[in-house]
Amino acid sequence: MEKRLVLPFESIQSLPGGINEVRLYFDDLLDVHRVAKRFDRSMLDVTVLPEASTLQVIHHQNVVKVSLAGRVDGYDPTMDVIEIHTPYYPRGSITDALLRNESFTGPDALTIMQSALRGLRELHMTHKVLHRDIKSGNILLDNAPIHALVADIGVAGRIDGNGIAPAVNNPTPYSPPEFMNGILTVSADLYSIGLVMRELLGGRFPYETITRDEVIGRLEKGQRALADDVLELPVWAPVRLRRVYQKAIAVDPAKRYQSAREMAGDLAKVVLVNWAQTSENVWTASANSGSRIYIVTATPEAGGVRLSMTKQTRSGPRRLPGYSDEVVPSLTHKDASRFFDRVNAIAA
Amino acid sequence: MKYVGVSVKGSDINLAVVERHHGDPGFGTAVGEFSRQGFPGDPSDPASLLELTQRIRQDLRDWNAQAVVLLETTKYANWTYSHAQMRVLCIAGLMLAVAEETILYEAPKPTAIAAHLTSPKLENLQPSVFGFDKPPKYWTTGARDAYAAAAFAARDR
Repeated sequence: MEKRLVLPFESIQSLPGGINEVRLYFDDLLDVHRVAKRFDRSMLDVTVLPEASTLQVIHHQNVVKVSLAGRVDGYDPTMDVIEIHTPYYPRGSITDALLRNESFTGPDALTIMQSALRGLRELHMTHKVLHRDIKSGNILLDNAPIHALVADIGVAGRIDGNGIAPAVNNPTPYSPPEFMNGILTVSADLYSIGLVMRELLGGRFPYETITRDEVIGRLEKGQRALADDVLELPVWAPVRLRRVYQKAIAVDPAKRYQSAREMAGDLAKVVLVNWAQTSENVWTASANSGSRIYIVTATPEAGGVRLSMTKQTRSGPRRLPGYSDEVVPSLTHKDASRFFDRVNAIAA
Repeated sequence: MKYVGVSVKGSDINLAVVERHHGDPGFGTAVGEFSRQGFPGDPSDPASLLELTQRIRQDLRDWNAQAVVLLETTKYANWTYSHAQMRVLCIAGLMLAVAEETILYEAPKPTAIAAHLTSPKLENLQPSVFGFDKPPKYWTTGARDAYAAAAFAARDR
């Protein structure tokens, strides 16, 4: 009688999230957890690359590896159900962290972005793969020195000789405005990672209020899937970072970054101090390992918002010469950004 | 085949790529994007060196480089500590990246590179040698030396 190979994995729980069944297993032989995604291959778009074998040839510390893959019996014979196992990353994705109300310091956000962009570069440049589903839920977090991994290439497609891959029917809030045209380039993934950066810096999007119909409606008009007010960077974001972000999420793909390398290069020039919003209208910037702390306060008044900056000293907050209060029309006005940039300049 | 030349200026490491096939005339044609990486952060932070290494490594992977040549210095004395530290750290990042990618690596003196280019002084090297219509960005502040090193890397062996 033929001996049967048994993989002694115990399913501990199902993980919510995507459209596929995802389980957390415990492998008691290797004493590790694994994540398993089960899906029907017969339902996939013809342009979708085979996920397991595609991942198998990618060896990069910022791209999730495949541990094993197998067919699952017992489904309708017209289906081709497989399960892909990958390592388990306990921190989960950026979305998971944001839903746990974790926040990221500016420098941490930049480090995660650089790691994620390296993973994307590997997909784009070395393997000619367009991810087509970059979102905060598909960037996993890990400890240093890895920091972040690109995950779930379940709808990825091959980039052809003209730098193009067709779009697949998976509209998300992170889909680029050209999504409905059906033609995507590397700049589509970079648009999506730009939105991931926005969440790292400014907190999660209001997922619960975003409807699929709204997303599709906006994409059909060639607009960004999310409203402009949701896309605002935090008020303290320095001008150099704003330029990177605006270029990443430009509506016209030709005006966007054309390579992850270019975007990573521009991000590398951004210097971020450690900002925190301590109450509704108060922000602190700590510099030099916390030995210098600057406080910006916004006070609503007739005609706008009064911004004032003080430096924390042993004897209490102290105004700095040459840094007088400024009244700006609103916190989203460019004059507010300019005020914060002056603080960025002295704190950096 | 793509070959990478490297020059280090201050806290910047400059990487240039040329393409050349064995037996081709000339010194190779500039391809891809010139890369200038600044040392990313505090030089006493080990994570900064690792970050630089990973950035260089990803450039080398993007380019699928066959060989890397660093233009060695001829300055043997009178270094300030901070300048020497930065140069050594940049070269360390480069060497680690090259080792991880298992790419051929050399660090010849400028005289060897100049001899290959039949240009006694690298300062006289013209950008047209590599197919440029006009001097590219950073030509006199790192790119020229990096392209010269890339040409040496691309020589017939």
